Amino acid sequence: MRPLLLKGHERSLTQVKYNREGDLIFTVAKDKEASIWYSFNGERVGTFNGHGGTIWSIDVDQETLLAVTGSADFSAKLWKVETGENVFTFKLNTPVRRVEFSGKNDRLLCVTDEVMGFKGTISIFKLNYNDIYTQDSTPLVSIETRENFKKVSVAAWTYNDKYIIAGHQDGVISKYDATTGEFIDSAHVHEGLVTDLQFSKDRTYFITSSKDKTSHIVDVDTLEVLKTFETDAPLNSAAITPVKEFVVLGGGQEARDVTTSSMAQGKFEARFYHKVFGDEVGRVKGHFGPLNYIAVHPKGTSYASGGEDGYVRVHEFEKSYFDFKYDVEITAEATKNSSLNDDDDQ
Amino acid sequence: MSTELVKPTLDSIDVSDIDFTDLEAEYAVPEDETFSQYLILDGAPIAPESKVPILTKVLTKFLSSAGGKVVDFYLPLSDDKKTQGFAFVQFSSVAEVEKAIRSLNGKKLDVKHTLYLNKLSDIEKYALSGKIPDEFVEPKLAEFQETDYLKSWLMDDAGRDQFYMQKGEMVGVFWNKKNDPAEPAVEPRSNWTQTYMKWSPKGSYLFSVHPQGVQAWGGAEFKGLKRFIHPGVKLLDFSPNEKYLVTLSPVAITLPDEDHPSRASYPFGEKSTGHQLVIWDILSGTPVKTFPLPAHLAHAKEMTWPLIKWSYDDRYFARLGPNALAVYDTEDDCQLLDRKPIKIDDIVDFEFAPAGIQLATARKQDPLTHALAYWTPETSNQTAKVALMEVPSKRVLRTINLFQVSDVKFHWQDKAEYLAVKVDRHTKSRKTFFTNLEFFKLNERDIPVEKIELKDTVINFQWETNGDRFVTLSNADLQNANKSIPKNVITFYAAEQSSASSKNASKKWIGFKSIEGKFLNTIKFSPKGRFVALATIGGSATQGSIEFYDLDFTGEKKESESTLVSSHVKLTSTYTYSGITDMEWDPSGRFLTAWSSVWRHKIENGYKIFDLAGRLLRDELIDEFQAFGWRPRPESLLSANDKKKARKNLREFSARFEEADAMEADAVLRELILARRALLEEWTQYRAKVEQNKELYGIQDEVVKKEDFEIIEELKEEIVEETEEVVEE
Amino acid sequence: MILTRVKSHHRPVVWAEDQDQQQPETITNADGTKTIISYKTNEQGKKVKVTQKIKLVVVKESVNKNVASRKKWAKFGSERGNAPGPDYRTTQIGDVVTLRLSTDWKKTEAAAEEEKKSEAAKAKSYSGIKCRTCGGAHYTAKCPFKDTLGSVDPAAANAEAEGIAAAEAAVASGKYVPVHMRGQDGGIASEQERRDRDDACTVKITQLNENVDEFMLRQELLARWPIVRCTLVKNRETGRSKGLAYVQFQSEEAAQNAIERLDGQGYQNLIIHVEWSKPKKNNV
Repeated sequence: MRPLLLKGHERSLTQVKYNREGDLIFTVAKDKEASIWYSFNGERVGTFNGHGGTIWSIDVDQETLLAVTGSADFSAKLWKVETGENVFTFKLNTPVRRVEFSGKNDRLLCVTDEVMGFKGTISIFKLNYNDIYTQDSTPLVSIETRENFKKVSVAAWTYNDKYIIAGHQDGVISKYDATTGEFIDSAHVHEGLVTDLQFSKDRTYFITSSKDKTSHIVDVDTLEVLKTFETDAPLNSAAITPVKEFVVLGGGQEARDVTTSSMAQGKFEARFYHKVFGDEVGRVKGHFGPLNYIAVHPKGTSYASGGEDGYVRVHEFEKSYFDFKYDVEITAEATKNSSLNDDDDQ
Repeated sequence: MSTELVKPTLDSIDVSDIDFTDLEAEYAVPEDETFSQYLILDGAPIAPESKVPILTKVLTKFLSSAGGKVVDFYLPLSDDKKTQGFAFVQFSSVAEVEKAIRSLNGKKLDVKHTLYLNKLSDIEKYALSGKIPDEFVEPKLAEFQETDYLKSWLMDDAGRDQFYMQKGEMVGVFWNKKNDPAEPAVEPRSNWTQTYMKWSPKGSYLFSVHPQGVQAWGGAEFKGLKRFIHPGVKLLDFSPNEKYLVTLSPVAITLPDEDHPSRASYPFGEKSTGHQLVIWDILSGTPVKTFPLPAHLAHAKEMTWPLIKWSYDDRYFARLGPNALAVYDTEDDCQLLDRKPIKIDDIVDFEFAPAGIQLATARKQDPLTHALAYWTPETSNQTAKVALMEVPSKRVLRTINLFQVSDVKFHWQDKAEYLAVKVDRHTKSRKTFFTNLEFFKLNERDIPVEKIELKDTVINFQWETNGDRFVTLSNADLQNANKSIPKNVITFYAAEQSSASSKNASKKWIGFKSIEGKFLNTIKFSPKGRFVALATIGGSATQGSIEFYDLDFTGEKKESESTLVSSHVKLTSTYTYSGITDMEWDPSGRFLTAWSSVWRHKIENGYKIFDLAGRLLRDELIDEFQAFGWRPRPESLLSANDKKKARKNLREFSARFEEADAMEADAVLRELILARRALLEEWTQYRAKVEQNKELYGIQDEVVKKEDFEIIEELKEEIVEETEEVVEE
Repeated sequence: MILTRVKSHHRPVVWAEDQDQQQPETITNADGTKTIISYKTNEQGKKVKVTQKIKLVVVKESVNKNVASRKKWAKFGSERGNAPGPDYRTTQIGDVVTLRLSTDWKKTEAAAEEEKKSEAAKAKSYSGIKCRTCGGAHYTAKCPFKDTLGSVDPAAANAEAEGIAAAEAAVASGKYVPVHMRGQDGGIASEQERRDRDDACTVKITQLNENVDEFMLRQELLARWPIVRCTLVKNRETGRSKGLAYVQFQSEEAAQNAIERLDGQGYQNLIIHVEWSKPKKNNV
């Protein structure tokens, strides 16, 4: 496959997202512009201009009407996607590390940094779609970092927008009631900073990635680690593929630990693991630096990776990707089908 | 008058801050040295009074042989006018007494009589004042503790080898399973060692290093065996037959206080205080001998190791001293040969022969000769010398003179049939360096020396294990080398075929194949010979890689290769491994492991196992991977005949093993499939449960609304036909 | 087999193909089909003519209305006012990468690498470049053995390889350039230096008697011309003259004069050869 190279950013990428239909890709980087691209040909539709610092995070709502960005300039901005118009700005106390719309698009979460004497906080704002220019800038709920907990690095909504799951600096995962902000549970799953947390399509389980070189699949209800993927490099991102039972992990050795040759040859790889069996099944090379974020097309037909090298690479999966199955899977499917047929006979 | 004075009580005066040292020195009672010029001689013949003059004469002469002057000699007579076997002797000085005791104590006067000499003061000190009980108390022997069978791993049915791996705080011992994941021989242990692990040379023990000392482990379960307490120990080494252990600690030995509870179990005595180097008996766990660190090494940043070198059979060991070589005999209470070091001016380095030598002059039934080689550098009026010395006779068997020498390295062939001396030489201007190889042929009469003069500098040299071939890595211009251009040359040498020369002719080596333009810097011969792996290790600009060569490749020789030798080299495989930091053959020579240790860098940490032709069998990336070590094997107990038989029936044997392998592979595959099935089942069940919950929670799957979609008709181009033709070359 | 040439109503991404390609030629056939003739270069570097016969067909496709409408968006932000279609500056097509899914992916990968290597080697042998020094597939000037096997003919090599010329100029200036620095890398640096200095006045004297030293050159042979610097090339190990010297004169005239007067003259029993240290270029 020949990937599309999106070179709109001058600095390393921080987040890459698809919208619900997967026709648009939203990218943010350490420069001050967010970029929106057509996924099928890599054409840049436009940019969101207005932030005064690194944009750490971006999200788009279900209808692709509004997008939100969180920046190091202590603000989160709402944008009208079609025109790139900045419709509202939420001012916060510290840099915004993560933003995400709730599943029903009625709320928005912002993870803010723990600096300058402010506690790291997950702030939840109510969204007003009737008049997008008027938003309530007082959060509905603020979840401050609890006593004895390290600061939150990532957070996301679960199914039904019921809970919020947060990943902490020291590898702990914690769960909160999304309405009341009440702490429910936590689990120490990683030995290092949790760098990413992405949900399955139905938002009943999620995948985490960490600097401790591992990635876990964790159940929302029990916070039980269902699967573990071990790699040889610090991980920055992990995504679950729809359609196929894979996960895609991205990361890479710090520049100082890498041979110059591998740096020059673009040997930084996206790693594909089988979600159920936990084996590594393939790699895709191409980036000239660690992979900072991985997003998979909602229909599972392509994936995009944003790198420390400032490039976004969009890869369309080939037929072989969809054909690949473990013998065990084939057998299981065959028996399932045959048993279904038996049922029909009866 | 004085009685009337009120005596101040001693307690009322505080004397603690008064310095009495001057008084103490002035009034110190000198030790009574009156009798220290005397010694008591014991074990002399008992003779009648008439023989006293002659006996006196004989004994006086004997006593004077150590160089002292006997001033007085008194043979007391018993009641029946006979000498009593002892005598009082007076020397002219204390030094003479000590000298006489040192060199004459325990010597035999004749067949029947052994003379014992003791200082008179010692007799008083130990024998008279009741310090030593007269009654003989039998020393309590520690109860015999049975250890597991230390060679149990050799009884593995499949003849597999073991290795240890160290990762983070964990150390595990595993069975090699070729392509399959290694099977733990024992449960991996955390904090088994503080720094590193080391196998003993024959593989019986695994040693771990701790701040308090080292510990031996062994047997099937790797239970703790003996402990060797040596605080701060950093380096360890073994005698070739793993009878002795040598440890070195930068911390000098100090004894715990007399009343300290650890004193009783402390292995060292007064004499070892301040010493850093210890030789231990592995079986008993007790120190055999301790040494202080030589002065020039006391503050050295890079320690030369080993400091103690051993003869092939553990009998002799030697250390290098300034202008001398100290050789000790373990069968003589680890004493210096002839009680003194061998004086060799400017000696730089030495190396024992790794096997006993069958000299041409020796008779068949003579024991094999122990020998060592050493070299001395050029001085203003002397050439550099390489000499071969027989031990313990100290007879120099052969010397060669060399000039314009910058360095000398010894490379003994395993069977000690040949000694290759790599002589790095320089031109007069000292700008150009080149190497000469001098080969001592030890089994031939008069030990002839064959010389190979090269234009290049040899950077690495390796004998084929138990063979007479060798491989060198050389570089024409080491001084001005641009590191990004591969300039190293591999050269394969073999002995000239005997048919080409007459039967009695001396052996000649021929460089029959050279391959230029390499980065390679490391040579590892398979322990069974024939196969050799060369690697590029280290060097940031270059990429690590391994090349596998077969020296007896069966195939047509190319024209360029020399027909004078029977060997035929073939590069069987090349593998690029940028992270490689070490490599090692397994003791059977069937596998080669290469690994990347986090001790050196963080690139591609983990290990890879290759077969002897360089096919990658197993590749594991392991975070924090530190070290790997194959467990060595002792020599095979099979006779040459048995081996021959095994070779003859190789096909039968291999068929049996292949069958086992296939079965094993099947089993592994079956297990893998079962495991995967279980995983799939587990996941399916999990999802089923979630699906049920979904209803419960009211999660709705995304609905695809029909009205969102419209049907568009589009004109598309379809390729009906496509042809390609080449129009231009 | 029918291949769908276009995946959507957008044109295929042709701008990623090689720039210097010819425009495809389109012929409309009588039966309504079209024939397109295009050219491409195959793996062996040969030009290939591709003839495609194309039929227009009507395809019915179900498209999400929202997605379809989004495709018609005007560009905004930094892209405002730009024409529809991908811009080469921000959107490119990368080199082929492969995802070979396998339970033993490392082996598959290694095997594929190996294949690629052998193909590359094959392609290399087709490249038609042959070193005159060692016969390898590289330019003579870049030959790794040029110092060991020796250059073919200094003058000819000069004319051919700018790198060596630059390096020699550097030698002439008396500044030592390490052997490995001569050639491509050092070339850039010495190129710069060459511009700074007027090297047009440097001549090369060859076939000098070994006994001639620098002093003799200055005092006897070149006594009548003003000299900036004079360097006699010596063997680094033996210190013996190689019979070659580079002399920089103060003016081009002086250099010209020296060449005319000395070239072909006898000096210390040998006929010396004097020439410009590098071929004189026009307008330099």
